Amino acid sequence: MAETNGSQVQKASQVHEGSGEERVDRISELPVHVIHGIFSKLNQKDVARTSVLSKRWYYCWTRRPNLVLCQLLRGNTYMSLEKFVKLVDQSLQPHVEENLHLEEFNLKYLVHDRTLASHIGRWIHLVVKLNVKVLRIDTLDSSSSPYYSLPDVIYAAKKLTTLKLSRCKFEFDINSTTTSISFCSLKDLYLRYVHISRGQLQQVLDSCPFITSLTLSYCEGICKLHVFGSLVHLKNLTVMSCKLDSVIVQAPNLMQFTLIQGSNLEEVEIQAPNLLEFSFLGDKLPFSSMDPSSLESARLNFFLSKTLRIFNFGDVDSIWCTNLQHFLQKFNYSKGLMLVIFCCKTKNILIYEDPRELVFPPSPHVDIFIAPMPLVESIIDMLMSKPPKIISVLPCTNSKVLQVLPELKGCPKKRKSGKDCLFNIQCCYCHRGLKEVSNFMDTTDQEMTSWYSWLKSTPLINKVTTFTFNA
Amino acid sequence: MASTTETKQKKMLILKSADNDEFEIEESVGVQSETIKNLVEDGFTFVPLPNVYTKALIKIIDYLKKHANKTDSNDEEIKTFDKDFVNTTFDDLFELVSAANYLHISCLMNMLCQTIADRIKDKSPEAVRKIFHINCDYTPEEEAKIRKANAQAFEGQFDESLD
Repeated sequence: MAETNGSQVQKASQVHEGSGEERVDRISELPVHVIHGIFSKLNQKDVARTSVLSKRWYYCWTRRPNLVLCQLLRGNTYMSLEKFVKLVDQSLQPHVEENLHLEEFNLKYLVHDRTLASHIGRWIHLVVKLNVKVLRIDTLDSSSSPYYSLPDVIYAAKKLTTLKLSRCKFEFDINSTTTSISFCSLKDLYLRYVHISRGQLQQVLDSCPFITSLTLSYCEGICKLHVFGSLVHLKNLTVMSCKLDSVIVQAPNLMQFTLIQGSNLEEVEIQAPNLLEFSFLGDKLPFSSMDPSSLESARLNFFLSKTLRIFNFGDVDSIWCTNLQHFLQKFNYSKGLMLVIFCCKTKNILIYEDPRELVFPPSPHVDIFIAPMPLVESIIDMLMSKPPKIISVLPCTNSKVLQVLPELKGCPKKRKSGKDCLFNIQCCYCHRGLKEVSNFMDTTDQEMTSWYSWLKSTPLINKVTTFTFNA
Repeated sequence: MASTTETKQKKMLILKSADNDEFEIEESVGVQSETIKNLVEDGFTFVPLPNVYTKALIKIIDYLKKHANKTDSNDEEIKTFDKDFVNTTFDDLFELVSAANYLHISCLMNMLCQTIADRIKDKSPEAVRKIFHINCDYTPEEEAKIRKANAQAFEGQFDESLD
């Protein structure tokens, strides 16, 4: 622990005369590391404001263990690159000179260029030497930045627990014996717009036995993600837009898996017996051997590629569609799960309380949710932005949905539903009273008529209860 | 088996405060403090604490006893105890911070830092100075310079209240 050089610090103790009571400044006398302990309970802005309290506080602030530095000033204004580099250098100076404890080094820069690349390399060097624990170097604008070469010194960061990188390229040679990666404390790895090969990722993962969370987003240089059983601590896995053709995951303790993928995915094998949450977005999910029985919630968002939009879901590949039905029926509905299908073309919601008889509504884009009843409400809320026009429910005996749905009025937040929306989307849509529809004949509404004619073509027609949303 | 439980008496420690008061506590209670734990590991059973005064030590022993008996079922009870524990005057609070710092009791330190931070959160620097009686030793020019260098932190509305 870095301790203050007491002689440098002026004691700010002050006794006020007058009121009879001694009013002593006790807080400024606390040791620097205790003041840093107080900082750790405050946000960056609150901490920065303490720098103005007195010289003592300025001293503590400049030696804070969490350096979070952003090139963005406010709104759309940024400080110049020159200024930003100066800020980072100045902020690091006391830590480097006095070899202070550095918990977190967090940079957010605007765009990347050659000059900045050399500075980033230099900063990584400095903070790794200071045994930084949390290292985040992120760009605010990912589209136009070129890659910088990740300096080899980073692999020596033994104390690192969290690493987030973007716009860099892993350069080490997987066959070389000179690079040894010592991420022995790493728990959270987040790579965004990073160039990394399959072999490099494998070596990195092999060197972090305690990893619990892995996120790959818009990564390049990798087309196969194979995560095997050695990662026994892995709980969260998120893979977004990485142009993968093969995903094989064997993780005994994985709890949450998100896979967002355009097309091209040919192979997906998930062996995760403790998986609770699964999200997928893409054109097709080749779920060959996945057992969904442990899942407590899932979201599957399928859309046909733009050239196929004239077709409906299931028209193009009916075998796959049958596989999907089987997959959906394998969920453990006896745990109180329900199946919600949102049909993005006609904007209708279909809820199956008991999905033994499963028919898909016609649409080139379906959003499928499997969730327990308390979450169904928040799913409907989330879908309100689309907005849906009709909800049809296929109830089971003693239907809970039918009891709850007619009461869904007003803002759910005000009613304290107690559970947050599963899919992290702000939901607050007021005035969505529902009205039960018994007779479709009265309506002239085109969507309602087409929904009715589809229902009529299925065995569902005699079992469904349908509601419309009041405008 | 009964005989072994009888002979195996609870190990006790004696803590001596800065004003020379002595307190006997169970070793298992005391070792929640890293400082005491290190001394116990070196074989000490008598622990002088020249930086901790009796008033703070009584409160801290209370705290350690409560937290040594933590189980799954008394979570609420401990929460209430903690809330009550930090609801004290500034003088006492800072005595406790110094003591917890010296004794290295991290969970207590955490809680005390949070209590102090709650009084700084969202407040204007002027309000923080008044609450903690911090004397500003900057010239107005120096202060203006520091505010300018961190302009973002000073944007917006702040809580001016002293509670």
